[in-house]
Amino acid sequence: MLKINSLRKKFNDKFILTNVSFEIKPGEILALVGPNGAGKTTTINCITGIVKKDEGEIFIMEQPLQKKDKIKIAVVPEERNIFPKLSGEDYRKIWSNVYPKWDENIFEKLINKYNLPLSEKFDKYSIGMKTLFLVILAVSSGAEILLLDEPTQHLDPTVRLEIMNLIREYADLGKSILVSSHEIFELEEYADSIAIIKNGKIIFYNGIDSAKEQHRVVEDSSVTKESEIIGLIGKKLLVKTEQNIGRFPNLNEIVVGYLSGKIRENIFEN
Amino acid sequence: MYIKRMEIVWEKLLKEKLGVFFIFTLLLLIPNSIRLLSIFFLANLILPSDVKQKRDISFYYLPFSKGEIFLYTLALLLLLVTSAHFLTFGFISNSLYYFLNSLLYITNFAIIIFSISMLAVSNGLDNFGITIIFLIIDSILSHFGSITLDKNFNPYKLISITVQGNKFLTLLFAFVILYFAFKAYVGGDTYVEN
Repeated sequence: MLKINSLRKKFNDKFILTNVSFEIKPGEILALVGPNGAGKTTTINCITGIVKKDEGEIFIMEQPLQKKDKIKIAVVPEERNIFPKLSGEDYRKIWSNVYPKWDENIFEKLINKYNLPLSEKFDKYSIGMKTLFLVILAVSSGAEILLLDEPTQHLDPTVRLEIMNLIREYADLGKSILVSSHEIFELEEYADSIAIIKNGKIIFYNGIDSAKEQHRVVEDSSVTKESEIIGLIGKKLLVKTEQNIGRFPNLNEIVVGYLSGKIRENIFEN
Repeated sequence: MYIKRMEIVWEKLLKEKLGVFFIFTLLLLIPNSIRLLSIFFLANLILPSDVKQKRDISFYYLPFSKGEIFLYTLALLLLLVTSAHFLTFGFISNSLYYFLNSLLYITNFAIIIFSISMLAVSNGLDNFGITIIFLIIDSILSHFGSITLDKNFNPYKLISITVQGNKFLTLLFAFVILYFAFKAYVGGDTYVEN
């Protein structure tokens, strides 16, 4: 449903995105993972149109993304203070008017469940309440595609779990969801596929289950010629192999392996 | 559909800037220089200041385009300015010619200040500073000569924002600047591409 091909963007002659490509099918949650400044938010901003891409293609439902398609996309942006002086009720009014598939029932259910004060101004909400409220607006929008930047950040552990379930249930309606997050352990619980971004480039992209099957965590001595060394995980190695060696990695180890690379350094060594 | 969307944008602007709108809309009711001063501040604050502080980005997380926001805010500015003129006109004069002439004058003034201000912020410059410099230069350029076709003829006086020697030529000039302001904002490097 959402397809990104060779997205490139530079600011002041510095490339922020050099090669970003991925696809999110209906019913799929893609986790976009990477260190700070890797290009996660810029990727989301290019899809929303907040940042104009320099090169590359963005397709939505097999068609190039156009202005009119923005009603099919709902966003939880990195900047939570969208309209700080407006009340929750004002937000409801705006969102319900601009999204044609707005679902008032879902919105009311969730607002009542979390007891969010609609009459209060948004800047009076705590940071966790803001995140929760924006996620509620996104899943009530009825949009085909959700772009969620750190959707569980600053939430209580119990609310986090409920929000993860909510996002999963929304995807199961046939919607496509892009989640940018640092919470790798959480992502394993509800995401279907993963794209690891580093220095503006997607360095690994696959389904989470396939990713686990294709990799092993091994000791240095276990590495064979048929294995491709991906990176270090503490004192062990993440390798890509079809051989049955070592043990299967978890998602966190795959991410760490790809991001750390092959250079081992000990900062306490002279 | 567009009316509803415009209402949403207006409501958001009015709620977020209630104090500013209240004060300057009241001052708009006082004719002549106070009204022009109010238009100057309203035109600078209604959207350009948000663009300068990148607060307008919030709109673009939603299904709004830059072109829409530009036009909706200009429409609100013109609605406020012309409404104030309609409300107060009966107290000032009963002449229809004077009414239309002064309506055109303040409309031109509002469009030009808004456009110069938007041009400034879209190019990373200070909106208040640039509009003040523009008014100073305009005053200097329109100070000399006359609008009659003689040896002292100064064609700039015909389109000058302060003199407006010919209201319709000034309106044409206002639309030209408005076009460039629209292009500069909508086609800028950041935000929405449409």
